[in-house]
Formats: sequence, structure tokens, C-alpha cells
Amino acid sequence: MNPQGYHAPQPSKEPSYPTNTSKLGMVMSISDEEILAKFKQNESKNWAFDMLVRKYQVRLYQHIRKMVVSHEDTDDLLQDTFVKVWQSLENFRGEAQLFTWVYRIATNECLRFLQKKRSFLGVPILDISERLATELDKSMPFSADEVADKLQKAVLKLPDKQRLVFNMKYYEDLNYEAISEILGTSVGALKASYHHAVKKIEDQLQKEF
Amino acid sequence: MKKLPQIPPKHLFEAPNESRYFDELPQKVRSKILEQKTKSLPNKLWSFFIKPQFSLPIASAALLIGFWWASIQTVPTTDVPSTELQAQLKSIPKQDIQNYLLEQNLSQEDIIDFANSEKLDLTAQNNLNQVPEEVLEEALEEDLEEYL
Repeated sequence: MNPQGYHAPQPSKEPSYPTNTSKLGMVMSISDEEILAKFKQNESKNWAFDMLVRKYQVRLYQHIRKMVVSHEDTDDLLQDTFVKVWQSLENFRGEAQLFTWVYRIATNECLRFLQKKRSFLGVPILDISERLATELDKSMPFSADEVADKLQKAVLKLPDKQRLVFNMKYYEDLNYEAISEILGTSVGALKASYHHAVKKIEDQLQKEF
Repeated sequence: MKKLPQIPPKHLFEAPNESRYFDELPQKVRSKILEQKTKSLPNKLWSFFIKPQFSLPIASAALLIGFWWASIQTVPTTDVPSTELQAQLKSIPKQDIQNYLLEQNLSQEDIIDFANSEKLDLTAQNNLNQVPEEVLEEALEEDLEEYL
């Protein structure tokens, strides 16, 4: 497991982030400590922030997009997340890892957005899942992978927080300790939540096939 | 049907024109930060003024300044004490006032009002030559009406 809460790379499970790998490789080689140190200096503040955005943008995009589905909403939330990171980074004390701290901001943005959307539409949880599934069909009308598509639709039926836990564990391969830091929930509760989520998804997939 | 652990995780979502989108995102974020900075300055000022701990003292100070400003802008009308003014007027002989008023181009009503207020006899011989005839007639008519 690396210091950012990821398990050692497993070729079969490694998510394929579609991006410019050479640039990303260069940015990923910059440590969080270096970014934070450079951010504290006025002359390298903008450079450091630019590196931070480049380092986390793809992962955060995927994290947010899985929660809100639409690209436009994801784009707004991702930008808002980085604006908040900029505003608060000076006060970042390093009590948590930079990675989990940034993820927490993005997660809170997502939850707030979904809550707002729900109260604006005046619909219960199940209805918003339906809406997200419809959004998913619009986003990817010709999905090549039927299993992955059905799985994603089953995930959308989960309650927000359970969905977050599932996404972070299954898709983003974060360990429970990192998820616990991001969500502020105990590891035991997260394990139970993930177990329930997997059970619900398997039941749903059983019905589909 | 496969169990979940047998299904490899696959990211279905892609941003439209992905590599360009991620190349441009840092710039978009910087622009948004700048935009918020320029917006937030007047907001910060405004929010300072509407904070409860500041709003009351600021409002009171504004009110006091307003009163002070109004007071220096107003022309003082009561600066001369009325008793002093009355004393000065009383020192002028009535005859002089009468003569002065008769020399002025006053309307008949003004003269009658003045005469009534001062209880002057407009029919007195020394004044008759200088008072216009119509005024005298009007005054006489009014006097007569009182006795009828």
C-alpha cells in the first residue's frame, strides 16, 4: 500500500484512467509534501496549485462523475472543489494527508449537490436514482460493456453514502483507513456498509441477467 | 451470473474531449478563483457592514454625522433673541413707523392690518392727506359695520 491510501498496483484491477499518461506521469511524480512546501512560497504558489490540480483532477473527476453522472455537473463541482482547496490550503495543517483532505472537499461538494438537487426536485432517494440512471443512458447511449453498464446502474440505486463507500472501495481501490479519513466514519461501519452494498448490487445483477 | 469480485472495475465515464478538457481545467480553475476574488471584495465590505457587532455603531455614527451636517447647513433664524428685537422696535416712535409705512408702496390691506394691529386712527387729520381716499373709505366702512 502506498502512502496515499492505495493498495499496491494490481494489473488486473488497476483502473484505466483515460488521460495523457506522459504528462500525468510527470505530475504524479511530484510529492504532496513538495506541492505544499512550494505553495507556502509566494513565488511558487501558483505553480504548486497548478500541480495539485493536475495531479488530482482525473481521479476527482471520476469520483465526482460517478456520484452526479452528468459531465456538466461534474465540471462545476470539480472547479468548485479546487476553488475551495485554493481558499483553504493555507490553513491546511497536514493533520490528514493532502490526498484525503482534497477528496473530502470533493465528497462534501457532491453530497451537498445531491441534497440540493433532491430538495429542488422534491423527489425521494429512489426517484433521484432513476433520474441518475436516465442521465447515465444519455451520457453513454452505446455502452460496449453490458456488464459494466448494468453494474453502474445497480450502483446508482444505492443511497448516497453507501454509493460513495462502494465507489471508493471498488472502483478507486482505496483502503478502509483512507475512506474512513475522507468520510469521517469508522472502519467497522465502512466494512459493513460495503458488504451491504455488494449484496444489494449482486441481487440487482441477478435480476438483470 | 458472475459474483462482483469477478467483474473487473471499469471506469465508464469519460469527459468529452478528455485530454483537452484536463489540459484546460487548471486555467479554468484559476480564472474562477480570480473571478471570485474580484467579486468577493465588495461582498467582504458589505458583509463587514452588516455584521451585528458593527452595524449598530456604524448606523449611530452615520446618524450623528447626519444631524451635525444638517445643523451646519441650516441658516440660524433664532440667533437674535426675540426680546431684544422687540425692545429695539419699541424704541422707534409709532409716528415714525407710520410715516415710513405711508411712504412705502404698500397695499391697502397691509395698511389697514397695520392700523388695526396698532389701534391707529386712520381718520386722524394729520394722516388723512397722505392716505389714499379708497383706503380711508374702506376703513370707515369697516368701522361703521362694527357699530351697525
